[in-house]
Order: sequence, then C-alpha cells, then structure tokens
Amino acid sequence: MSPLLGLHSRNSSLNRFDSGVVGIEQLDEERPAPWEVVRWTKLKKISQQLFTDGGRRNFGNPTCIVVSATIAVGTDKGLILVFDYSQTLKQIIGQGTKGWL
Amino acid sequence: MTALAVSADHTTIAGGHSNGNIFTWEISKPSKPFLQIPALGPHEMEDRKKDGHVQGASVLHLGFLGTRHTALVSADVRGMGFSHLATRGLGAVGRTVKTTRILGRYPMDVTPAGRSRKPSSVLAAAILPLGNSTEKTDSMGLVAMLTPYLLVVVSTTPIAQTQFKTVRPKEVANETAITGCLAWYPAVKLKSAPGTSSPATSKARLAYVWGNVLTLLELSVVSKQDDDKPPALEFKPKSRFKCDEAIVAVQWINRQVLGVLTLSQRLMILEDTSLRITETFDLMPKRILHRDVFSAQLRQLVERMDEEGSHHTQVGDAYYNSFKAFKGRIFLLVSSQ
Repeated sequence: MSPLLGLHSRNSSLNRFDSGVVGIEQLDEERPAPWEVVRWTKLKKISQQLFTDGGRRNFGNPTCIVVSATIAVGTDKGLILVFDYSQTLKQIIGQGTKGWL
Repeated sequence: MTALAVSADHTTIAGGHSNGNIFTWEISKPSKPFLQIPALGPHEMEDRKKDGHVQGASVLHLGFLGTRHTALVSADVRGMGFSHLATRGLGAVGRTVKTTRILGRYPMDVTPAGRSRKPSSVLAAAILPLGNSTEKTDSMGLVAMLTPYLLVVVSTTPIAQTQFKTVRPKEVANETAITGCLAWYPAVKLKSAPGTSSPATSKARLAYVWGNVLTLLELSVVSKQDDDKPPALEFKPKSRFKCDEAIVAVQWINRQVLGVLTLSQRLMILEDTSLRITETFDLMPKRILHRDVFSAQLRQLVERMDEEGSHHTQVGDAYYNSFKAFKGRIFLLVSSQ
C-alpha cells in the first residue's frame, strides 16, 4: 500500500547531496522579494568522501539529514557523520553502539 | 538510524533508531554516548513503572528543547510521543532521564469502550525553535505532533500539558494520499520602522498539512496578570492553502516564504500570508529520497477507509528527513543510480 512513487526509494544506491541556493541577496521586511534565481549545487565533496561503494560499506546508506551550523547525516548502520560547510568530515558518531543497549 | 537532531548550541547530537532506542552524543566526544534512552522491553511493559517507546517502535522524530542538551522530545511510528528530561549529574554519570508520555497509548491499553484502537502514527513532529527575541513560550518546551487524525501542541516543561488540539479538516480531498507534515517559524524581532524606538516582534507561526491542505496558525501569548502561572496560549488560524495534489513536506525558507514539496515532487514557493504560489520547480529529476515508513502501521486505516467509501488508497512515503531549509537555503538528500 505505498504510492506509485514509493518504488524509487528502495532502489537507491549511490547517494549525493544537492543544495539549493537562493538568488536574492537580501531579505528585506519591507519588500519581500520573490525568488528570482534558483541554483542547485551538488555537495560533491561530501558525496565523494562517503557515498562511494566503499563509503557505503563502511558507513551505510544515508537516511536523514539535519542542517544547522553543521550538516549531519544519519545512516542505516546507526552512524552519524558530521560535516562542516566546507564539506570536511568533522566527526563520526555512534561507532560501536548500533542502536542497542 | 531513523531520526536525527542537533541541539541549539550545536554541541550535542541525538539519534533515534528503528528499535526504539535513543542516544545522544557530545559532538566533541563521539566514542561514548552522553545519554542513553532505551526502549521498553517486554518485561518492562508487563508492570509498567516508567514511560518510553515500546521496543521495536521506530523513533521517527527527535528534537532538543530550547537551549538544553538534556531535554528532548521524540515520537515513534506507532503514534506515541514522549518528552525526556535528564536530571543533573556529573557528566553522563548519575543522570537519570525522566520520560513522560505526551501522545498516544501503549498497545495493551484498551479504550474505555473496549474497542481496539484506531491505528495511528506520528506523521510529523517538531519543536518550536527559539528565535532572536525572548518569548514567554521559550521555557514551555512547545512541540507540535501530527497523526492521521489530530494535531496537538503540547508544552513539555515543567509538566506535560496540551495547549492546542485540532482535527483533520473535512476539506482534505478524499482521493489524496495520506500525508502529514508541519514546520514552525519562531517569533522574531522585526526591524523597527524609522521613527519608532522599540522593534516589533512577529508572532510564531505553525504551518501544518494533511493531504493537500496546508493551514497556517499564529501563536499569541495571552497577557495575564499573574506572573506565577504559566502563560495562556492562543492559536489562531490565519490562512489555508489547497494544493492540487498531496503535500509531502513543508519548510519555512524565511519569515514570509514557505517551501512546499508535493507528492509528484514539485517544489512550490508560497508567499505568506496570502499563501499565493509564486514559483514552482519540478524536482522529480533530482530523486529526493523518500522512505516507506508509515504504510505498514496504517494499513488497517486504509482498509477501513476503503470500506467506508472514501478512496485513500495510498499512504505517502516520508520525505521530512530529506527536505530541510536553513538560513534561506534548501537542502535535499537525493538518491541517484
């Protein structure tokens, strides 16, 4: 009972990031401007570091992202990979726990 | 890992797992978890002395409360939500976690009428983030949770208390896929107009979706005489947007712009408060990652609805872990071949 589009997610193999960049320079309360230009950039460095066959063997497939001062990615092996905005891997969290107690 | 959250001060990270366990880590000390909040095993369920996710219930949603890294909220696939408040201790040693149920019922708890419970799940959950102004709501630990039937907003500190409840609107088209999502925008200081002294503050807003209907609520704190009592909150619907298809994810791009992702993976940009569509982008080629998380849990609901004559034949996949906005930018987690 899943939607037609649900089929795609189960076949995901290599994973990469995309980042949307807003073209407007200022967000002015008096003149909220609609988006003029939207560019999508791939976070290639993150993808190349981890989401190769070897990376996925070690870390698992990404399942969730949280973006704040860092970009954190959770994987299906129970690991969290923390990157900074220059796409450098800062930390690998959760090795050895695997979600059990 | 099925859910992820980062604390407001960026020092602590929390992970929720498909077995119902939750761990937090200090990012600087990745080898050992800071807090461990295990799910309740079968023997703990028999004579239940404490609250917690039932073992095997995937934790789908997680968040830190306020600026704390010892206070969290979590919600699982079976429709239960909890707050977890850890006491002080020396580092992680000596801390106990007090878990309180804030949504849903345990599987063995029978309804007053003795009927079996409607199958439910938490389609979306999020904590009201702190803005750049001090608000009376900052210490309340407000969290919004959405099931196929209800939206509730609960304050979790100092005690769990429901602040607002609403049901799915009848306007949701019958043939729409079962989807639900929500996103908060906190109260923020506005630039003061020239000539005035103190800047105004915008009110916190909550955008929530069932199927193809998005509703915008505005949160006001009712001014009160007595400072000892917790503030009274008022949630006013401001506007509603009906899409031509189900909406699977929603994020605030800035204070006045919403990004809405539809089932066919069109990204629509909506302008507050009219909720007029200003742009539409086809993101289908990007293959945003979506996972079937709810259909097993809600299968009975779909069957029951089919018997009753409505045609909700589909349960939408989860997109909320793959569609995030931060500081005016959208981040997508995608799959490629």
